Amino acid sequence: MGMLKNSHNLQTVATLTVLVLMSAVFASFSDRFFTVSNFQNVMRNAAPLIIASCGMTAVMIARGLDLSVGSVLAAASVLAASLAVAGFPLYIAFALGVSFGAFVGLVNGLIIAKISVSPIIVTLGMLNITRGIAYLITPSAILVGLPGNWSDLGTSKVIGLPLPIVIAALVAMFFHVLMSQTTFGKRIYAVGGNEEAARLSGLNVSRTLILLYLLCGATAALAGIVLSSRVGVGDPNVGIGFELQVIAAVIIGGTSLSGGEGRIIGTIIGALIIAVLGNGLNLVGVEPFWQWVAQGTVLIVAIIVDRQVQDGVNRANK
Amino acid sequence: MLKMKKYLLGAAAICAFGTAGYAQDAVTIAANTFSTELCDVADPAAVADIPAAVSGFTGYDSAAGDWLSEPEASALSGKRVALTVMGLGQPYFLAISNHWERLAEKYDFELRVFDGRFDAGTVQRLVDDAISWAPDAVAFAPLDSDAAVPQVKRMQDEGITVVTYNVQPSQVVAPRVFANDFDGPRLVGCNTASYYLERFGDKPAVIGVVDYPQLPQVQDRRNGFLYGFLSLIPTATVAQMVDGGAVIDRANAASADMLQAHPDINVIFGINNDSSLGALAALRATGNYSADWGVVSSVDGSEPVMSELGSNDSPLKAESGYPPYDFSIATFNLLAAALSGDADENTQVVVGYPPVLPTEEGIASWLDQQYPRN
Repeated sequence: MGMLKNSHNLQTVATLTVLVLMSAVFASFSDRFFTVSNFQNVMRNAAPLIIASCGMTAVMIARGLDLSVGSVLAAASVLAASLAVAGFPLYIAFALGVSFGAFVGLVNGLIIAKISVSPIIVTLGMLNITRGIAYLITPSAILVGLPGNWSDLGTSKVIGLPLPIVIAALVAMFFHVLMSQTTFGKRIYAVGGNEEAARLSGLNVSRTLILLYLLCGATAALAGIVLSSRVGVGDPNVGIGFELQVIAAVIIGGTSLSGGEGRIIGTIIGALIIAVLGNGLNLVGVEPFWQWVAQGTVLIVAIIVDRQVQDGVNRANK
Repeated sequence: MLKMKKYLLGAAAICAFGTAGYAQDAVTIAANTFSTELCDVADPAAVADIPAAVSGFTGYDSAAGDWLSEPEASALSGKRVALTVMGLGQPYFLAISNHWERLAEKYDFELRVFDGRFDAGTVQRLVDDAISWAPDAVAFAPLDSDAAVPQVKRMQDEGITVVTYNVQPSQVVAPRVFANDFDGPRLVGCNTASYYLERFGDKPAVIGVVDYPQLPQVQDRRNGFLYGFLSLIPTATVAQMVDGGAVIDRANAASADMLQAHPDINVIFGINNDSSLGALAALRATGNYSADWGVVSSVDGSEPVMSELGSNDSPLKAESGYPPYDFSIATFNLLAAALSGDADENTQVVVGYPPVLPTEEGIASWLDQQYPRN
């Protein structure tokens, strides 16, 4: 009971309940929903979202926002693909793709932290810049001639699990440890809770923010490479609107838009709610236009349930 | 006549591939069953419920004339011409832009390309920008049929000659170039079914469509394909149509879900190349990427799909092109005709969806003309 009075735990349970209920509904309508292959399918599709959402969670807990993740995802993936086509070893192409994302995040962070420009404006500008870079990298629009092992990252398996799932799990574990077990993690919450108080208490707020945006850019780039590997081409049109999915996953997972609150486990559940919703509606055979309505409705309901639980806990704790 | 053409093409394909031992390859079967003619309906009841074309409200008769040849001289020479594209991020529009740049150099006219970025607001703004640039003529690619009507009229009110291409406006306001979005994919449906019958015989055909239901043009593509396929295989069933968003990442996820819901699907039609590539990636992820799995087909004919079409390992074995060169040269010629008073708002040119012969030569011929590398 004590544990459930902890607002974070109860919030996680509430979000998880939404996911479980949703899954139960889909399972009752489709006998194909609860199968091993569909579980792997959902996780494979959710992996890029989970990876990018981890970076975004850290940024949003520090009261930031990164709207450029969808475009960074595209630019990093076509950069890696073009390097692979040019004959670079795959691991170098992947590493340079992730480095590109980290560099973009670094630029975002520097402008936001050092010049105090609104993160919405900065990352909106970067959204356009990086999408343009993606198109400039691929003059033939979709890169072909990729090496045969390009798809391995997105399609192969490790101990029976699709590799994208393993990568997403590792990234999530890294961020969970970073945010819950390290001094840097405490600084993230402190900056998000009250930036001025954090500054007055001697924290280097600028450095914290810069590092967070760098990590967010790197995770977006890694998500792009996983996605590009899965679809087997380098396409600058991938990830359009992806930033909205990422932000939705983070908010559904309980991270506050006003900063200072949120956990990686919640974000993972939020990403799974989005992935399961899309998958379940397709499996049940809901008409495409009704899927838009259903997705919007379920997301709003999930947020309302989450906030009601949060308010209830706050009242109980007073 | 139809059968004779098929046999000739099949013979050419076998010659191209050489040895008799190669005769059962997926590519050879696809080449043998390939046709450039629409197939006859075996059972009218099977196609009776498929809606007719909705995008070509002015019909599909093309004005007489040699619209697809490059003339010796053009009325556009020395003029200032604006070309708008729906979005340069798509291979098709990038190729359109490249073809026009070559034409501008060859016929000596000033060209400026305006990118609509697949965004209604951007297209609205680029109309104003184009007017400000004060061109003599505009080759305009509308994003939306209804919105195009006032946009075209605004440019015409400024004394600019306008020809629309690709999507046509919902009213007769300017000369236009467009394609028969029903019959082109119908031919893909015929070729897909011919291949399926030859390769899989009497095995029940179960169809999945990676759709994009927001656009009337795409509804025609989907319905045209189904009409063609069911013309030859009336017993085929449609298991599901999912919204793939016409982009590869969303199409991939939607296809994967569709295959989970209906593991018996063995025919997939993608309404564009991103949709079919997304479906192929979904098959690859589940270990079903093989010509033995079934058949995938689509329309567009961009370079990534051509490598799938020519591969014996790939299930993609029927494709009709949406031809950027044909659209470019037809629009170029129609714009010149409009500028010199030889075409008016009632003049329309209908471009075909040429099916691509799935041999090395057929693919090379298609790419060399429609998607040349500079």
